[in-house]
Amino acid sequence: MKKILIIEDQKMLRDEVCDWFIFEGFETYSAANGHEGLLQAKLHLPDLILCDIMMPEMDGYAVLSNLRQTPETSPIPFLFMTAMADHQQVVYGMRAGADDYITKPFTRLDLLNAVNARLKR
Amino acid sequence: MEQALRESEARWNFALEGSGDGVWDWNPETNEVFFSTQWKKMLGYADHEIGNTLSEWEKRVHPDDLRRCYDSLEMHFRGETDVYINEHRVMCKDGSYKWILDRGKVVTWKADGKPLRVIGTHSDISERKRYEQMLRQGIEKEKELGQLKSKFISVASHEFRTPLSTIMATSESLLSYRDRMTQSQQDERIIKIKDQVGNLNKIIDEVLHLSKLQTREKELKPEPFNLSLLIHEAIEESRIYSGREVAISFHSSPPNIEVTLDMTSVKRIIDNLISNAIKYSPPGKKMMVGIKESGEHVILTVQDHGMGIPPNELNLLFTPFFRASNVVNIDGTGLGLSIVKESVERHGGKVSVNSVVGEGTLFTVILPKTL
Repeated sequence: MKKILIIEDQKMLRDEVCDWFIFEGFETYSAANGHEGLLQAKLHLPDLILCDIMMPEMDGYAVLSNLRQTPETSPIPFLFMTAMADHQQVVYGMRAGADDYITKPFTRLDLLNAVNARLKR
Repeated sequence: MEQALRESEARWNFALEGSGDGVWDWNPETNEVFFSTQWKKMLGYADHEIGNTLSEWEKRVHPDDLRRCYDSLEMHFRGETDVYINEHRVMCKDGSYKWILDRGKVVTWKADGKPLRVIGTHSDISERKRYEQMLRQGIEKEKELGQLKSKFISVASHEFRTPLSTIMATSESLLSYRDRMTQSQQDERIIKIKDQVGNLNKIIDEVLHLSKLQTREKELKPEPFNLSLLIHEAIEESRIYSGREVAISFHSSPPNIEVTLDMTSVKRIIDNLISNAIKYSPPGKKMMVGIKESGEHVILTVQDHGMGIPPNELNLLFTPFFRASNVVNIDGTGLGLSIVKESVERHGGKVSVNSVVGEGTLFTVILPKTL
Protein backbone atom coordinates (compact mmCIF):
# COMPACT_ATOMS: atom_id res chain seq x y z
CA MET A 1 0.00 0.00 0.00
CA LYS A 2 1.45 3.37 -1.08
CA LYS A 3 1.93 5.97 1.66
CA ILE A 4 1.04 9.58 1.07
CA LEU A 5 1.52 12.63 3.33
CA ILE A 6 -0.78 15.64 2.98
CA ILE A 7 0.43 18.93 4.51
CA GLU A 8 -2.37 21.49 4.41
CA ASP A 9 -3.44 24.08 7.00
CA GLN A 10 -7.12 24.16 5.94
CA LYS A 11 -8.63 21.33 7.95
CA MET A 12 -11.72 20.78 5.78
CA LEU A 13 -9.71 20.47 2.57
CA ARG A 14 -7.04 18.34 4.25
CA ASP A 15 -9.65 15.88 5.58
CA GLU A 16 -11.39 15.63 2.23
CA VAL A 17 -8.19 15.01 0.26
CA CYS A 18 -7.13 12.39 2.83
CA ASP A 19 -10.48 10.65 2.36
CA TRP A 20 -10.00 10.54 -1.43
CA PHE A 21 -6.72 8.70 -1.02
CA ILE A 22 -8.15 6.36 1.63
CA PHE A 23 -11.00 5.48 -0.74
CA GLU A 24 -8.40 4.92 -3.47
CA GLY A 25 -6.49 2.47 -1.28
CA PHE A 26 -3.62 4.63 -0.04
CA GLU A 27 -2.23 4.78 3.46
CA THR A 28 -2.47 8.47 4.43
CA TYR A 29 -0.79 10.76 6.92
CA SER A 30 -1.67 14.38 7.40
CA ALA A 31 -0.19 17.50 8.96
CA ALA A 32 -1.73 20.91 9.67
CA ASN A 33 1.49 22.92 9.33
CA GLY A 34 5.03 22.79 8.03
CA HIS A 35 6.70 21.77 11.28
CA GLU A 36 4.31 18.87 11.81
CA GLY A 37 4.71 17.92 8.15
CA LEU A 38 8.49 17.64 8.48
CA LEU A 39 8.15 15.39 11.54
CA GLN A 40 5.63 13.13 9.78
CA ALA A 41 7.77 12.93 6.65
CA LYS A 42 10.85 11.88 8.61
CA LEU A 43 8.87 9.44 10.75
CA HIS A 44 6.87 7.66 8.01
CA LEU A 45 9.04 8.23 4.91
CA PRO A 46 5.98 8.40 2.58
CA ASP A 47 6.07 7.54 -1.12
CA LEU A 48 4.84 11.03 -2.02
CA ILE A 49 4.17 14.34 -0.32
CA LEU A 50 1.41 16.82 -1.17
CA CYS A 51 2.04 20.20 0.39
CA ASP A 52 0.30 23.60 0.48
CA ILE A 53 2.49 26.67 -0.13
CA MET A 54 0.94 29.41 1.97
CA MET A 55 0.93 28.22 5.56
CA PRO A 56 1.61 30.16 8.75
CA GLU A 57 4.96 29.86 10.51
CA MET A 58 6.65 27.56 7.99
CA ASP A 59 5.57 27.79 4.35
CA GLY A 60 5.72 25.03 1.73
CA TYR A 61 9.02 26.27 0.26
CA ALA A 62 10.73 25.93 3.67
CA VAL A 63 9.29 22.40 4.09
CA LEU A 64 10.61 21.38 0.67
CA SER A 65 14.02 22.89 1.28
CA ASN A 66 14.36 21.09 4.61
CA LEU A 67 13.27 17.75 3.13
CA ARG A 68 15.71 18.08 0.23
CA GLN A 69 18.57 18.65 2.65
CA THR A 70 17.81 15.47 4.59
CA PRO A 71 19.21 12.34 2.83
CA GLU A 72 16.30 10.04 3.84
CA THR A 73 13.60 12.44 2.61
CA SER A 74 15.37 14.11 -0.32
CA PRO A 75 14.24 11.57 -2.99
CA ILE A 76 10.54 11.64 -1.99
CA PRO A 77 8.40 13.04 -4.84
CA PHE A 78 7.00 16.39 -3.73
CA LEU A 79 3.92 18.13 -5.20
CA PHE A 80 2.73 21.60 -4.30
CA MET A 81 -0.99 22.26 -3.90
CA THR A 82 -1.33 25.98 -4.31
CA ALA A 83 -4.04 28.60 -4.43
CA MET A 84 -1.49 30.90 -6.00
CA ALA A 85 -2.10 30.72 -9.71
CA ASP A 86 0.55 33.38 -10.10
CA HIS A 87 3.08 32.14 -12.65
CA GLN A 88 6.00 33.58 -10.68
CA GLN A 89 5.08 31.59 -7.59
CA VAL A 90 4.79 28.40 -9.60
CA VAL A 91 8.20 29.01 -11.22
CA TYR A 92 9.66 29.69 -7.78
CA GLY A 93 8.16 26.45 -6.46
CA MET A 94 9.54 24.38 -9.33
CA ARG A 95 12.97 25.98 -9.02
CA ALA A 96 12.91 25.14 -5.32
CA GLY A 97 12.85 21.50 -6.41
CA ALA A 98 9.16 20.50 -6.46
CA ASP A 99 8.31 17.66 -8.86
CA ASP A 100 4.96 19.12 -9.85
CA TYR A 101 2.23 21.45 -8.69
CA ILE A 102 -1.55 21.54 -8.78
CA THR A 103 -3.62 24.71 -8.56
CA LYS A 104 -6.56 25.03 -6.17
CA PRO A 105 -9.40 24.47 -6.64
CA PHE A 106 -8.51 21.14 -8.25
CA THR A 107 -10.68 18.19 -9.25
CA ARG A 108 -10.28 14.76 -7.71
CA LEU A 109 -9.19 13.32 -11.06
CA ASP A 110 -6.58 16.02 -11.65
CA LEU A 111 -5.03 15.33 -8.26
CA LEU A 112 -5.18 11.55 -8.54
CA ASN A 113 -3.69 11.67 -12.06
CA ALA A 114 -0.86 13.95 -10.94
CA VAL A 115 -0.07 11.71 -7.97
CA ASN A 116 -0.29 8.43 -9.90
CA ALA A 117 1.84 9.78 -12.74
CA ARG A 118 4.55 10.73 -10.28
CA LEU A 119 4.38 7.40 -8.42
CA LYS A 120 4.75 5.40 -11.65
CA ARG A 121 8.11 7.06 -12.47
CA MET B 1 12.10 111.32 -31.93
CA GLU B 2 11.42 112.09 -28.22
CA GLN B 3 7.69 111.62 -28.84
CA ALA B 4 8.32 108.21 -30.46
CA LEU B 5 10.52 107.21 -27.52
CA ARG B 6 7.83 108.19 -24.98
CA GLU B 7 5.19 106.28 -26.94
CA SER B 8 7.41 103.21 -27.10
CA GLU B 9 8.05 103.39 -23.34
CA ALA B 10 4.33 103.80 -22.66
CA ARG B 11 3.57 100.71 -24.80
CA TRP B 12 6.28 98.78 -22.99
CA ASN B 13 4.91 99.75 -19.54
CA PHE B 14 1.37 98.95 -20.62
CA ALA B 15 2.41 95.51 -21.86
CA LEU B 16 4.25 94.74 -18.63
CA GLU B 17 1.44 95.97 -16.38
CA GLY B 18 -0.97 93.85 -18.35
CA SER B 19 1.13 90.70 -18.07
CA GLY B 20 1.62 91.23 -14.34
CA ASP B 21 5.35 90.52 -14.72
CA GLY B 22 8.08 92.49 -13.00
CA VAL B 23 11.15 93.80 -14.80
CA TRP B 24 14.75 94.00 -13.71
CA ASP B 25 17.69 95.69 -15.34
CA TRP B 26 21.11 94.72 -13.99
CA ASN B 27 24.60 96.06 -14.46
CA PRO B 28 26.90 93.15 -13.48
CA GLU B 29 29.88 95.50 -13.21
CA THR B 30 28.44 97.76 -10.52
CA ASN B 31 25.77 95.30 -9.34
CA GLU B 32 23.22 98.05 -9.56
CA VAL B 33 19.76 96.79 -10.45
CA PHE B 34 16.59 98.57 -11.45
CA PHE B 35 13.56 96.69 -10.06
CA SER B 36 10.23 97.75 -11.53
CA THR B 37 7.29 98.72 -9.32
CA GLN B 38 5.53 95.50 -10.32
CA TRP B 39 8.63 93.45 -9.41
CA LYS B 40 8.43 94.86 -5.86
CA LYS B 41 4.64 94.70 -5.69
CA MET B 42 4.70 91.01 -6.59
CA LEU B 43 6.62 90.40 -3.35
CA GLY B 44 4.39 92.70 -1.30
CA TYR B 45 6.67 95.75 -1.20
CA ALA B 46 6.04 99.42 -1.97
CA ASP B 47 8.38 101.09 -4.45
CA HIS B 48 10.55 102.79 -1.81
CA GLU B 49 11.04 99.64 0.31
CA ILE B 50 13.55 97.93 -1.96
CA GLY B 51 16.86 99.46 -2.97
CA ASN B 52 18.78 99.23 -6.23
CA THR B 53 21.43 96.61 -5.56
CA LEU B 54 21.70 92.95 -6.51
CA SER B 55 21.81 91.98 -2.81
CA GLU B 56 18.12 93.02 -2.51
CA TRP B 57 17.27 90.12 -4.81
CA GLU B 58 19.97 87.75 -3.61
CA LYS B 59 18.99 87.88 0.07
CA ARG B 60 15.39 87.06 -0.78
CA VAL B 61 16.09 84.00 -2.95
CA HIS B 62 15.60 80.72 -1.10
CA PRO B 63 19.06 79.52 0.04
CA ASP B 64 18.48 76.13 -1.60
CA ASP B 65 17.78 77.77 -4.98
CA LEU B 66 20.46 80.48 -5.19
CA ARG B 67 23.26 78.24 -6.49
CA ARG B 68 21.08 77.05 -9.37
CA CYS B 69 20.23 80.68 -10.28
CA TYR B 70 23.89 81.60 -10.60
CA ASP B 71 24.62 78.39 -12.52
CA SER B 72 21.93 79.33 -15.07
CA LEU B 73 23.28 82.87 -15.32
CA GLU B 74 26.85 81.61 -15.81
CA MET B 75 25.71 79.30 -18.59
CA HIS B 76 24.07 82.21 -20.37
CA PHE B 77 27.13 84.43 -19.86
CA ARG B 78 29.33 81.70 -21.37
CA GLY B 79 27.04 81.66 -24.39
CA GLU B 80 25.72 78.16 -23.72
CA THR B 81 22.12 79.36 -23.61
CA ASP B 82 20.36 82.04 -25.65
CA VAL B 83 18.49 83.29 -22.61
CA TYR B 84 18.82 82.93 -18.86
CA ILE B 85 15.87 80.98 -17.44
CA ASN B 86 15.45 79.82 -13.88
CA GLU B 87 12.61 78.85 -11.55
CA HIS B 88 13.23 79.63 -7.91
CA ARG B 89 11.59 80.73 -4.69
CA VAL B 90 11.76 84.35 -3.53
CA MET B 91 10.76 85.55 -0.08
CA CYS B 92 7.88 88.03 0.17
CA LYS B 93 7.50 90.80 2.72
CA ASP B 94 5.26 88.59 4.91
CA GLY B 95 7.93 85.86 5.05
CA SER B 96 6.19 83.46 2.67
CA TYR B 97 7.84 82.28 -0.54
CA LYS B 98 6.62 82.72 -4.11
CA TRP B 99 7.78 80.61 -7.02
CA ILE B 100 9.26 82.90 -9.66
CA LEU B 101 10.06 82.25 -13.30
CA ASP B 102 13.06 84.47 -13.99
CA ARG B 103 13.99 85.11 -17.61
CA GLY B 104 16.70 87.44 -18.88
CA LYS B 105 19.20 88.19 -21.59
CA VAL B 106 22.47 90.08 -21.91
CA VAL B 107 21.72 93.10 -24.08
CA THR B 108 25.15 94.79 -23.90
CA TRP B 109 28.53 93.09 -23.85
CA LYS B 110 31.88 94.63 -22.93
CA ALA B 111 34.83 94.44 -25.29
CA ASP B 112 36.40 91.71 -23.11
CA GLY B 113 33.29 89.53 -23.59
CA LYS B 114 31.85 90.15 -20.14
CA PRO B 115 28.18 91.18 -19.73
CA LEU B 116 27.51 94.85 -19.11
CA ARG B 117 23.74 94.99 -19.08
CA VAL B 118 21.24 92.21 -18.46
CA ILE B 119 17.50 92.76 -18.65
CA GLY B 120 14.84 90.31 -17.57
CA THR B 121 11.35 89.62 -16.31
CA HIS B 122 10.00 88.14 -13.10
CA SER B 123 6.79 86.07 -13.34
CA ASP B 124 4.83 84.68 -10.42
CA ILE B 125 4.35 80.96 -11.13
CA SER B 126 3.31 79.91 -7.59
CA GLU B 127 -0.14 78.84 -8.75
CA ARG B 128 1.31 76.72 -11.56
CA LYS B 129 3.77 75.13 -9.11
CA ARG B 130 0.90 74.37 -6.73
CA TYR B 131 -1.01 72.60 -9.51
CA GLU B 132 2.13 70.71 -10.57
CA GLN B 133 2.61 69.59 -6.99
CA MET B 134 -1.05 68.51 -6.75
CA LEU B 135 -0.73 66.66 -10.04
CA ARG B 136 2.44 64.90 -8.87
CA GLN B 137 0.76 63.91 -5.61
CA GLY B 138 -2.30 62.75 -7.55
CA ILE B 139 -0.18 60.57 -9.85
CA GLU B 140 1.71 59.19 -6.86
CA LYS B 141 -1.57 58.44 -5.05
CA GLU B 142 -3.00 56.81 -8.18
CA LYS B 143 0.12 54.63 -8.47
CA GLU B 144 -0.11 53.69 -4.81
CA LEU B 145 -3.80 52.82 -5.18
CA GLY B 146 -3.03 50.72 -8.26
CA GLN B 147 -0.43 48.73 -6.34
CA LEU B 148 -2.78 48.30 -3.40
CA LYS B 149 -5.53 47.17 -5.75
CA SER B 150 -3.41 44.49 -7.42
CA LYS B 151 -2.15 43.25 -4.06
CA PHE B 152 -5.75 43.18 -2.82
CA ILE B 153 -6.89 41.22 -5.88
CA SER B 154 -4.05 38.75 -5.49
CA VAL B 155 -4.78 38.14 -1.80
CA ALA B 156 -8.55 38.14 -2.37
CA SER B 157 -8.32 35.53 -5.11
CA HIS B 158 -6.38 33.31 -2.71
CA GLU B 159 -9.04 33.76 -0.05
CA PHE B 160 -11.82 32.92 -2.53
CA ARG B 161 -10.04 29.82 -3.74
CA THR B 162 -9.78 28.36 -0.25
CA PRO B 163 -13.53 27.86 0.36
CA LEU B 164 -13.97 27.05 -3.33
CA SER B 165 -11.39 24.27 -3.02
CA THR B 166 -13.26 22.80 -0.07
CA ILE B 167 -16.59 22.98 -1.93
CA MET B 168 -15.04 21.36 -4.99
CA ALA B 169 -13.29 18.63 -2.98
CA THR B 170 -16.35 17.83 -0.85
CA SER B 171 -18.77 17.68 -3.77
CA GLU B 172 -16.32 15.44 -5.67
CA SER B 173 -16.19 13.11 -2.67
CA LEU B 174 -19.97 12.87 -2.67
CA LEU B 175 -20.08 12.26 -6.41
CA SER B 176 -17.41 9.57 -6.45
CA TYR B 177 -17.69 7.82 -3.11
CA ARG B 178 -21.20 8.36 -1.73
CA ASP B 179 -22.12 4.68 -2.14
CA ARG B 180 -19.27 3.87 0.25
CA MET B 181 -20.31 6.49 2.82
CA THR B 182 -22.80 6.23 5.66
CA GLN B 183 -25.79 8.58 5.68
CA SER B 184 -24.20 10.71 8.38
CA GLN B 185 -20.92 10.98 6.42
CA GLN B 186 -22.93 12.22 3.44
CA ASP B 187 -24.90 14.71 5.58
CA GLU B 188 -21.70 15.96 7.12
CA ARG B 189 -20.36 16.82 3.67
CA ILE B 190 -23.56 18.53 2.55
CA ILE B 191 -23.41 20.72 5.67
CA LYS B 192 -19.74 21.45 4.95
CA ILE B 193 -20.61 22.65 1.44
CA LYS B 194 -23.44 24.81 2.81
CA ASP B 195 -21.10 26.38 5.42
CA GLN B 196 -18.46 27.14 2.81
CA VAL B 197 -21.02 28.78 0.53
CA GLY B 198 -22.06 30.90 3.52
CA ASN B 199 -18.42 31.72 4.15
CA LEU B 200 -17.90 32.77 0.52
CA ASN B 201 -20.99 34.92 0.72
CA LYS B 202 -19.63 36.64 3.82
CA ILE B 203 -16.26 37.29 2.15
CA ILE B 204 -17.99 38.81 -0.90
CA ASP B 205 -20.20 40.97 1.31
CA GLU B 206 -17.23 42.24 3.34
CA VAL B 207 -15.02 42.80 0.29
CA LEU B 208 -17.77 44.89 -1.30
CA HIS B 209 -18.35 46.83 1.90
CA LEU B 210 -14.63 47.53 2.34
CA SER B 211 -14.24 48.53 -1.28
CA LYS B 212 -17.19 50.96 -1.03
CA LEU B 213 -15.62 52.51 2.07
CA GLN B 214 -12.21 52.83 0.44
CA THR B 215 -13.46 54.30 -2.83
CA ARG B 216 -15.86 56.53 -0.88
CA GLU B 217 -18.74 55.08 -2.86
CA LYS B 218 -20.41 54.51 0.49
CA GLU B 219 -21.55 57.88 1.77
CA LEU B 220 -21.71 58.36 5.49
CA LYS B 221 -25.12 59.52 6.68
CA PRO B 222 -24.82 61.19 10.07
CA GLU B 223 -27.83 60.93 12.36
CA PRO B 224 -28.26 61.57 16.09
CA PHE B 225 -28.42 58.45 18.28
CA ASN B 226 -27.63 57.19 21.76
CA LEU B 227 -24.22 55.49 21.44
CA SER B 228 -24.35 53.96 24.93
CA LEU B 229 -27.63 52.25 24.08
CA LEU B 230 -26.32 51.04 20.72
CA ILE B 231 -23.31 49.40 22.41
CA HIS B 232 -25.54 47.85 25.06
CA GLU B 233 -27.78 46.33 22.35
CA ALA B 234 -24.74 45.09 20.39
CA ILE B 235 -23.46 43.28 23.49
CA GLU B 236 -26.85 41.64 24.05
CA GLU B 237 -27.04 40.53 20.38
CA SER B 238 -23.52 39.09 20.52
CA ARG B 239 -24.46 37.04 23.59
CA ILE B 240 -27.28 35.45 21.58
CA TYR B 241 -25.44 34.93 18.27
CA SER B 242 -22.12 33.70 19.65
CA GLY B 243 -23.90 30.74 21.26
CA ARG B 244 -21.31 30.85 24.03
CA GLU B 245 -21.23 31.73 27.68
CA VAL B 246 -19.92 35.28 27.52
CA ALA B 247 -19.14 37.51 30.48
CA ILE B 248 -19.13 41.10 29.28
CA SER B 249 -19.12 44.13 31.52
CA PHE B 250 -20.15 47.49 30.07
CA HIS B 251 -19.52 50.94 31.41
CA SER B 252 -20.64 54.23 29.88
CA SER B 253 -19.52 57.58 31.25
CA PRO B 254 -21.85 59.50 31.29
CA PRO B 255 -24.55 56.81 31.18
CA ASN B 256 -26.12 58.15 27.98
CA ILE B 257 -23.82 59.51 25.29
CA GLU B 258 -25.51 61.16 22.34
CA VAL B 259 -23.58 61.36 19.05
CA THR B 260 -24.31 62.34 15.45
CA LEU B 261 -22.50 59.78 13.29
CA ASP B 262 -23.26 57.17 10.63
CA MET B 263 -25.09 54.68 12.84
CA THR B 264 -24.73 51.67 10.50
CA SER B 265 -20.95 52.10 10.29
CA VAL B 266 -20.58 52.65 14.03
CA LYS B 267 -22.67 49.52 14.69
CA ARG B 268 -20.39 47.56 12.36
CA ILE B 269 -17.29 48.83 14.22
CA ILE B 270 -18.76 47.77 17.58
CA ASP B 271 -20.02 44.40 16.28
CA ASN B 272 -16.65 43.53 14.77
CA LEU B 273 -14.65 44.39 17.88
CA ILE B 274 -17.02 42.59 20.25
CA SER B 275 -17.37 39.47 18.09
CA ASN B 276 -13.56 39.28 17.74
CA ALA B 277 -13.12 39.59 21.49
CA ILE B 278 -15.60 36.75 22.03
CA LYS B 279 -14.17 34.60 19.25
CA TYR B 280 -10.59 34.80 20.45
CA SER B 281 -11.27 34.42 24.18
CA PRO B 282 -11.59 31.13 26.04
CA PRO B 283 -15.18 30.51 27.25
CA GLY B 284 -15.97 32.15 30.58
CA LYS B 285 -13.18 34.76 30.35
CA LYS B 286 -14.43 38.23 31.19
CA MET B 287 -14.48 41.03 28.61
CA MET B 288 -14.85 44.74 29.26
CA VAL B 289 -16.45 47.27 26.96
CA GLY B 290 -16.30 50.96 27.83
CA ILE B 291 -17.38 54.25 26.30
CA LYS B 292 -16.59 57.68 27.61
CA GLU B 293 -16.78 61.29 26.52
CA SER B 294 -13.59 63.30 26.09
CA GLY B 295 -14.23 66.86 24.92
CA GLU B 296 -15.53 66.72 21.37
CA HIS B 297 -14.68 63.00 21.09
CA VAL B 298 -15.84 59.68 22.42
CA ILE B 299 -13.46 56.86 23.35
CA LEU B 300 -14.58 53.25 22.92
CA THR B 301 -12.51 50.48 24.48
CA VAL B 302 -12.93 46.73 24.04
CA GLN B 303 -10.70 44.65 26.28
CA ASP B 304 -10.51 40.87 26.28
CA HIS B 305 -8.41 38.33 28.17
CA GLY B 306 -8.01 36.07 25.18
CA MET B 307 -5.05 34.61 23.31
CA GLY B 308 -3.53 37.98 22.29
CA ILE B 309 -1.75 38.88 19.06
CA PRO B 310 1.96 38.12 18.41
CA PRO B 311 3.89 41.45 18.63
CA ASN B 312 5.47 41.12 15.17
CA GLU B 313 2.00 40.82 13.61
CA LEU B 314 0.38 43.83 15.27
CA ASN B 315 1.29 46.20 12.44
CA LEU B 316 -0.39 43.89 9.90
CA LEU B 317 -3.58 43.52 11.87
CA PHE B 318 -5.63 46.02 9.87
CA THR B 319 -4.44 44.72 6.48
CA PRO B 320 -7.25 43.11 4.43
CA PHE B 321 -7.32 39.31 4.74
CA PHE B 322 -4.52 39.25 7.31
CA ARG B 323 -5.10 36.71 10.07
CA ALA B 324 -2.77 36.32 13.02
CA SER B 325 -0.76 33.10 12.98
CA ASN B 326 -2.33 31.87 16.23
CA VAL B 327 -5.94 32.04 14.94
CA VAL B 328 -5.77 30.20 11.61
CA ASN B 329 -7.98 27.42 12.93
CA ILE B 330 -10.69 29.84 14.04
CA ASP B 331 -13.22 30.90 11.38
CA GLY B 332 -12.84 34.41 10.04
CA THR B 333 -12.45 36.34 6.80
CA GLY B 334 -9.59 38.60 7.89
CA LEU B 335 -11.61 41.60 6.73
CA GLY B 336 -13.39 42.71 9.92
CA LEU B 337 -10.57 44.85 11.30
CA SER B 338 -9.88 46.45 7.90
CA ILE B 339 -13.52 47.49 7.86
CA VAL B 340 -13.20 48.83 11.42
CA LYS B 341 -10.13 50.90 10.52
CA GLU B 342 -11.63 52.25 7.30
CA SER B 343 -14.94 53.12 9.00
CA VAL B 344 -13.19 54.82 11.92
CA GLU B 345 -10.94 56.83 9.60
CA ARG B 346 -13.85 57.85 7.38
CA HIS B 347 -15.32 59.39 10.54
CA GLY B 348 -12.04 61.24 11.16
CA GLY B 349 -11.22 58.98 14.10
CA LYS B 350 -8.39 56.66 15.10
CA VAL B 351 -8.14 53.03 16.12
CA SER B 352 -5.25 51.49 18.03
CA VAL B 353 -4.43 48.13 19.57
CA ASN B 354 -2.38 46.88 22.51
CA SER B 355 -1.91 43.19 22.98
CA VAL B 356 0.08 40.64 24.96
CA VAL B 357 0.09 37.00 23.84
CA GLY B 358 -1.66 34.86 26.42
CA GLU B 359 -2.97 37.86 28.35
CA GLY B 360 -5.36 39.62 26.00
CA THR B 361 -6.01 42.53 23.69
CA LEU B 362 -7.26 46.08 24.08
CA PHE B 363 -8.74 47.96 21.13
CA THR B 364 -9.24 51.72 21.51
CA VAL B 365 -11.37 53.69 19.07
CA ILE B 366 -11.55 57.48 19.16
CA LEU B 367 -14.42 59.03 17.23
CA PRO B 368 -15.66 62.61 16.96
CA LYS B 369 -19.06 63.14 18.62
CA THR B 370 -20.37 64.81 15.51
CA LEU B 371 -19.48 64.03 11.91
